[in-house]
Amino acid sequence: MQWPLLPKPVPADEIPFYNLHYLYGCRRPADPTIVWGTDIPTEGLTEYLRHRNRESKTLLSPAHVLVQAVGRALVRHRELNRRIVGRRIFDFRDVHVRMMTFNRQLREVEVLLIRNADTLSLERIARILWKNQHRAASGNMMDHEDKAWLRKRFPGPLLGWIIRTYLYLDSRFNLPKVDRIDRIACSPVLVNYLAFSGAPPMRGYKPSSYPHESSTLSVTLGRAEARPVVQDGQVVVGQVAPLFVRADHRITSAYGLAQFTETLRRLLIDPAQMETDVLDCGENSSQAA
Amino acid sequence: MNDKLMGNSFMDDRDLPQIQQRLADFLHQHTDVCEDFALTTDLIDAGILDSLLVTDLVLFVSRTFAVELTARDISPEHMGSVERMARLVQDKLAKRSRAA
Repeated sequence: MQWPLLPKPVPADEIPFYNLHYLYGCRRPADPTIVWGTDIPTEGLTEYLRHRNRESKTLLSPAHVLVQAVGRALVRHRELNRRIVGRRIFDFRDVHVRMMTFNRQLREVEVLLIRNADTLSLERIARILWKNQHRAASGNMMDHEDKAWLRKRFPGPLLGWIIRTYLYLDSRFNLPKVDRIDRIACSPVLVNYLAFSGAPPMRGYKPSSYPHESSTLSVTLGRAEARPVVQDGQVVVGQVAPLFVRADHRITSAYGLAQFTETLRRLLIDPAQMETDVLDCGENSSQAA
Repeated sequence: MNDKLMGNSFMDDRDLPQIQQRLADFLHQHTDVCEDFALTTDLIDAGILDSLLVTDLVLFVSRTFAVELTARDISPEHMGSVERMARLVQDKLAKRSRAA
C-alpha cells in the first residue's frame, strides 16, 4: 500500500483563479480539457537513436525516448504533476509515467506504470517496456491478471459495486493506493506512441479523458512522415511527427500547457540533452513491472 | 499444417536461408514500408521495427520455429536485420538440438 499524493492539498491561494473557475465550476460530464498539438522534426531523434542503438544491449525506440522526455518535462513543470480530488488539488510525491501498450493478439490495451521516470536512463526504460511487452506477448497481461484476481475474490455484481464505490470514494478523498487494485492512479500522465505500421498520417488527435481523476495529462506522439518544411527560407522535405498534449484546465492554463509542450518538444528534437541528467539507481531501483 | 507443426517437423539449425525467408516474408506482410529490403538492411535505421511489430515477431518466431525469444533478445545485436534475427533463431534451434 502506498500514498502517492502528499497529505495536504495545494492551498487555494496558490492556484490561479482561472483554474479555480474550472475546479469549482466543472461538473462531470463537462470536459475541462485543452489540447495543444505541434510538430516535431525527427531527424535529431532518428540520428540519436541510430547512434545509441549501435552500443545499446537493448533495442531503443522513439517510444522509450518519449517516456523519458515526459518524465524529464514533468519534473521541470511540477505544477502538472498533480491530481484533482474532489475540489482540491494534490501534488504527487514522485514523477511516475503511465505508458499505454496494445496487444494485437488479445486486442487489449494495457497501462504500464513506470516509476520515477524522471531519473531513469533510456536503456532502463526500454528494458522495463520490452519486459512488459514480452510478458504481454505470452498472454500474461497485468490487466487480465488483475481482472481474474478481482473476479475470483468478488464474484458477480459485487465486483461492479466495489469498483463503483472505490471510484466514488477515490474521486472525493485522498486514499492510499494498493498496487493490484489501483496502480494506474499513481501518475498524472498517460503516454501514447501511435506510430505503428498501418497508422494513417495524424493531423489531429484528442485523447479521451480517462474516467479516473488522476489522468490530468495525456501525451501522444504520432508517426514521422515526410512533409514540406521551411529551412532558411527554402521549402525542403523533412521528417515530422505530430505531438498532442491534453491537459486538464483545472490544473493548468493554455500558457502552462504551451510551456510544457515546448519543453517536451525540445527534448524530443534533441534527446541527447537528457543524458546529462540521468540519476538512475540502476537495476535495483524498484519498478512495479 | 499449422506454423508450430511446421516448425517442429522440418526446421532445424541448418535451414538458415529458409529461416531468413520466413522472417523476411513476415516483415513484408506486417509493415507498410514500400521499398524492398535486403537481408542485411538495418531495420532500425530504416524505421521498420516498432514495438507492436517486435511483439508480433516474438510470437511469430515462437509459433513458427518453436523457439522462445526472451526480453534480452530484443536488442539491436539480434534484431538489427533479418540476417541477424535468423542467426539468433538458428542458434536457439542448434541449442535445442544439442539438448535433445
